[in-house]
Amino acid sequence: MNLRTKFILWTGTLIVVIITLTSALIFDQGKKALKDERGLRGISLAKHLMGLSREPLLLKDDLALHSLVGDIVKNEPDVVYAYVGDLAGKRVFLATSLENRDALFKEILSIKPSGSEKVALQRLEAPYFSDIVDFSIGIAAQKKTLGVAHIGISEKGIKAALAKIRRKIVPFSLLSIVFFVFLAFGLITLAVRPIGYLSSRALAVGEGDLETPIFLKQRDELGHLANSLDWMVKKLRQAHDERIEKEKLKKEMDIARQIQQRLLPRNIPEVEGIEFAALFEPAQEIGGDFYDIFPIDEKRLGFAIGDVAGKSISGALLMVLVRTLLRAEALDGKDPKEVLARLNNFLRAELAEDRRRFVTLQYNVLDIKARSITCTSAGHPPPIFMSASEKTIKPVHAKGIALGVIEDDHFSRALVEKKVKLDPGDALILYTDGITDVAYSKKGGFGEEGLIKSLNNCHAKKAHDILSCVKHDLKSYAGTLAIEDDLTMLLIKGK
Amino acid sequence: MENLTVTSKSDPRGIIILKVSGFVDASNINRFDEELYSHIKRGTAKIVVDCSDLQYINSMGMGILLEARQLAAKRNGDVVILNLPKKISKVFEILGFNEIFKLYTSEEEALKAF
Repeated sequence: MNLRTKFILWTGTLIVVIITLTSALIFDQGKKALKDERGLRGISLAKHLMGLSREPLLLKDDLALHSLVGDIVKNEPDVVYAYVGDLAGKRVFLATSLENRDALFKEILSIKPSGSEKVALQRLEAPYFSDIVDFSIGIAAQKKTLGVAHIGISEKGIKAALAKIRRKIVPFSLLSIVFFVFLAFGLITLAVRPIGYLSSRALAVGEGDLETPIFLKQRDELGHLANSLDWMVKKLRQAHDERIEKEKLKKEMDIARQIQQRLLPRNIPEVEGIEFAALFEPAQEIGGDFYDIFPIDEKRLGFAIGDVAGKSISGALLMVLVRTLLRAEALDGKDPKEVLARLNNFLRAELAEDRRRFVTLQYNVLDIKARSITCTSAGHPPPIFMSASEKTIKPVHAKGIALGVIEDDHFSRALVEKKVKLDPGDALILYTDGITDVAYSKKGGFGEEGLIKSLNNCHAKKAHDILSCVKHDLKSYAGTLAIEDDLTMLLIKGK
Repeated sequence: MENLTVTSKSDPRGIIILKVSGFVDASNINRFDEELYSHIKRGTAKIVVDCSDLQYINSMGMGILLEARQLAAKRNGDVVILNLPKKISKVFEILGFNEIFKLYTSEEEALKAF
């Protein structure tokens, strides 16, 4: 049973009960008033008759008595008989409008007079006189009872009056009930309608509609409820949007990460007398590092490390572009400086709309036979060369501006390449600023110094072990601090 | 999350001296961006970025400086750098940005650049 029906049933029942009780009360009051009036009238008429008949009774004026009772019956409505008689019942005067005069006479005689000056009331006993009330009073003079006076008043008048009241009050009550029930129906429908609205809105919200606003143009509790619901839905929508945005971002990050991982070379070329090792630990969120190793021709091998500013998918795509261009230009046989200049040229055009992005790249070419490495850099941290014979560990400062930043002439002018010879035991380590910036804000960063210090301890190890060693030192430097960027290192070592 | 404060003053010729102190990192990069661009948007294309108290700037921050320099140049202005601390100076050198930005060690000199 819905709320509206419930309310209407309750209210309807209440209305019926109230109106019925009120009508009954009014009816009852009316009845009582009529009866009281009749009683007073009977008493006063009885006294009146008693007063007027005392003298004629004493004087034995039969004519006066006769007309006295006759007048009363004739003139007073509802009075069905008037009687005056002596105690012996020998001189009696009865005027009546009733038919059964003898029976009435008997009835009257059977009523014992009260004897005092008080009027006695008594209903006649015979069934056909049942609605007649007798008012009797003794007639006395000088403390001596002369006789008795009776007045009979029929209740038919009262009954008729009551029937009349009933005829009015019943339809009125019924009409009132119908009217109030309809009114209640209307008002309850109006009052309940917002609840229906709110409930349907709540259902819609449950089914995913977070767009439609919820509003009730009323300032009561339901209005407040509507506002609260609307506020709640707004919050839900925000949370929903945020979650979607987050998921989208996470998905993008995942895709970017996949692209980044797949870009890394799967096979490291085997070159006699040369050992390669790489370490790549992607960051949780950001990171645009990559490295690559590829044979250029039979005599030469290219290897590079880079960092793409701008993360997520666009960063990853830029990374794809850089790697592809790098390989394409390198395999074309150009020398390293030329390769970088070409890359810069492409990226200038590619990033024309996005002037705040750039790519740093450290590109090197190994001449396998001569074991010499030509190092070039486009804005990338310098690699560190470990010389076994000289027992030195120092950065190789090839110079250059980051890719995509400045026009070709300027870029090419700034490029300075360096060469190192990779004798057995020598090693060159390439890295990105993720390594040197570890714990930067709290401890000042691992730095180039930290890296050199670490290499000092472990340069004699095998290529892989050197990287593990550096990584170990890095992690112990960072301690509990989060590592926020990719950790990428590429090592080439002469055997 | 590290602190970044950016204050600005203007010399009589309308050159803005923007003092960037603390850390420019992922957490506050947008604020750094807005502070710098608010001046360029208003038409002030001559900006001296005072880095005396700059402790760190990430690659996005460097990118923002780059773009600001280009936008300023288009309006016959420039973004020049004042008092690079040693550590940040190294970052500029590695990126080759010392070849792009004009670097000064005194405010007077920097203001003469315009």
